[in-house]
This record gives sequence, structure tokens and C-alpha cells, in this order.
Amino acid sequence: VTTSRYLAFGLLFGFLLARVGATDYDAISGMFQLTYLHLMGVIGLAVALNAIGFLLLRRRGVRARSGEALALAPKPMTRGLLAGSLLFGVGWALSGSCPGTTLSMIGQGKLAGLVIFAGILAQGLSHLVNRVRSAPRRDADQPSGDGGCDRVAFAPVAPRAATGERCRLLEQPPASGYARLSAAHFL
Amino acid sequence: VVVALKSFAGLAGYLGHVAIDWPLALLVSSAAVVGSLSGARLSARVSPAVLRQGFAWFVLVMAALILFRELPAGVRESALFQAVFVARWPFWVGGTALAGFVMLLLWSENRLLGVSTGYAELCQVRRQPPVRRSWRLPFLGGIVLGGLIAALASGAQLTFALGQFDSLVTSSVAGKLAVLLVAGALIGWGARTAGGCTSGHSIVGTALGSRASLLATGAFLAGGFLTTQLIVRFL
Repeated sequence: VTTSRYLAFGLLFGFLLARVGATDYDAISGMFQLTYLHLMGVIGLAVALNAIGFLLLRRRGVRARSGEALALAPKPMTRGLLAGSLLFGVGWALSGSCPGTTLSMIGQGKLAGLVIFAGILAQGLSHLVNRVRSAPRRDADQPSGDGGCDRVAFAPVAPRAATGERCRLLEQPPASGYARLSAAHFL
Repeated sequence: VVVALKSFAGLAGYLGHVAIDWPLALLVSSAAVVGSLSGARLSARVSPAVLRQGFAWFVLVMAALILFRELPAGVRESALFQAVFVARWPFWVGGTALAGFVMLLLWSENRLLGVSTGYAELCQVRRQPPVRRSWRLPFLGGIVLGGLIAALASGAQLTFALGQFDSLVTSSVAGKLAVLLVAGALIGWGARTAGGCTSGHSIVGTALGSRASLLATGAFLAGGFLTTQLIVRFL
């Protein structure tokens, strides 16, 4: 049932992305050409309203439906953030899509979305190649025995597991040694 | 097997006096055979609860398909239907809807919207021992369904065209594949390194006032702006 709920949320999000035109190459390209600022307006307004919303929620100490305190931790600064973000921007402009809209594009029958999707998943592939090539070597500050394709993004979950919470991904990779490792992924 | 036997009996009865579209019939029946065989193998692995939910979703999507296809022209051409399902939403509707969605997800599930981390998780699916599944994978799957519903409603077709991409960058299939693959790789790697993408950093993170998200969003836009300007001016 939880799965279905998140599926429903995803459905709503994918539908929204499609309806506001975020899955349209011309809309993204037009935004960067400064000829069609529709999406700038969408994103800008969403950010402004979200900021007000978050502020109100915090001020009033609103709790989630489950009664938990809202998980409103902002993402921390990491090494390589600037370079990664710039390259993300390049990919965004080249393909006219981002991780979310790619999925919505696939649903809409825009086959280009499938190719971009494969490209995004290549991060996993490059890691596998990397792993095969240098199997015995392990980065000292990375958790060992973690054989996933994008282990950088998955910090050890032990501290959380100990508190009995659901095994959850940390949003942020450990900062140390990350830039080096991910550059290796990419090559 | 019972259904198959019944079908063959039915077929035998009709053979004499009805013209049959043989290619179509063969296609349908072979698809059914392949489907039921692979289904049988799959059902051994998938839990009944998952199967039930999956089937429910399948039925819902098929219902949407039939509903939108059989919609009377009066409804389809009504101003409301056009505004909601066909025309692009004005920016103020879209922005409000997105913000409302973020708030709903936060309040209902206590999750901050973010897509790119789900991709990293998708890479982990075949990992041994299996990683505990989080909310992100069904969320990603839902986004695909959402796009599908949007396309069914507006009557979009399957296409490999990508708007101005074909005239601005390249229209050859090979070139397109290459550029899009590279772009995807940049998106994937960039989002992982930055710790988020347009949804997590730009729409949510900046609104939370996170310095990392502000920087990331600035760099997303700068990278995108420079790239597009280069494409427009030099290609």
C-alpha cells in the first residue's frame, strides 16, 4: 500500500511535469535562449511559494500527517558540488531534460527520454567497469564491501539501522575523497 | 491452459464462416502465450500482494486509456478539458501546482521531493544483499505513469522527434543517440556529484534557504545558459 501511495505521488508529479511543459525540449531551450521564459516563471513561482510554505510550517511547528516532526534538513555543501552542477546544467541544456522530466518523457512516448535515461544510468555502468578494473583496491575512506553501482551515494546505514529506523539512504555522499572517486567513474 | 483450450474450441467453431485477420490473430495469441509463460515464471518470484497492486495499477491505466479514447467529442472539445489536459498550463498554475505538490508530499509522507537520488538507488537494484527498498523507486515509476496519463489525455503520439533539438543540434539518428547519451551521463554524474537535481536542489533546496542548493541551482542555470548560447551561436 505504501508502494502504491508513492506510485500515486509519482504519477501526480509526472503528470504535472508534462502539463507545465517541463518535458518539452523547446521550453527548456527557450528558457536558456531567453526567448520563452515560461519555465523560469513556473520554477520561480514554485520556489517562492515553497519558501513561504516552509517558513510557515517551521514557524507554526506543523507536524507531518504521521505526527513526526517534518524532515526539513537542507542539503549540505559537498566537494565537487559546483563542478557537478555546472556539468548537470550542460546536460540539462543539451537534452532539454532532467532526471524527473526524462521519466515523464518516457511515459509520454518521447523516445529520446529512453536514451537520456540510459545515459543517466551510465553512472552505474561506469562504476562497474571501474570496479572490475581495480577490484582489489579500495578507497580507504569508503566503506568496504559495499558492492553497489553507485556506492558513493550510499553511505553506511549502520547508525540509522541501530536506531531501528528504516534503512534509509543518506542524501549526501561523504565529502572526503568523493571528487576524486567520481572523476574516476566518469573516465 | 483452460482459457487456451476454450479459445481453440471457440476458434474451431468460427473457422468456417468468419474471415480472420490471421497476422493479427497470430500476433495476439503468440503474445498471450509468451506473456502467460513468462508470467508463470515471474509469479513464482513476486509476492501476491505486489502482484495485486501491480494488477490494480495496470487496470487503472488501461481504464484511463479507454476513458480518454472513448471520450465524446463534446467533452474533449470543452474549454475545461482543453485547459486541463491539452493546453500548456500558464506559469502561475504550474508553479502553484508544483509548490502544492511539494507541500502535500511533505505533509502526507514527510518526504522532501527529489528525483535524482532515486536513480542512484535504481543502480542498486540488483545488488547483493538487496538494499531495503525506499520510497524512491515507486515514485520514479509513478512519474513514468504520470507522463503516460498526460499523453493519453492530450492524444500525444510515440515520437523520436525532440522539438528544436533536431534543427539546433542534429537530426541524424546516430548523432542524436550520441548527444543524448552524453547529455544523460552528464545529468546523472552531475546530479550525483551535486547531491541533487532540479527538483531536490532547485525547487526544494533553494526554498529551504540551503546555500548548497542556491549554489547548485545557480550553476545548473549557468551551465545550461552557456551551453544553449553556444549551441545557438555556433551550431
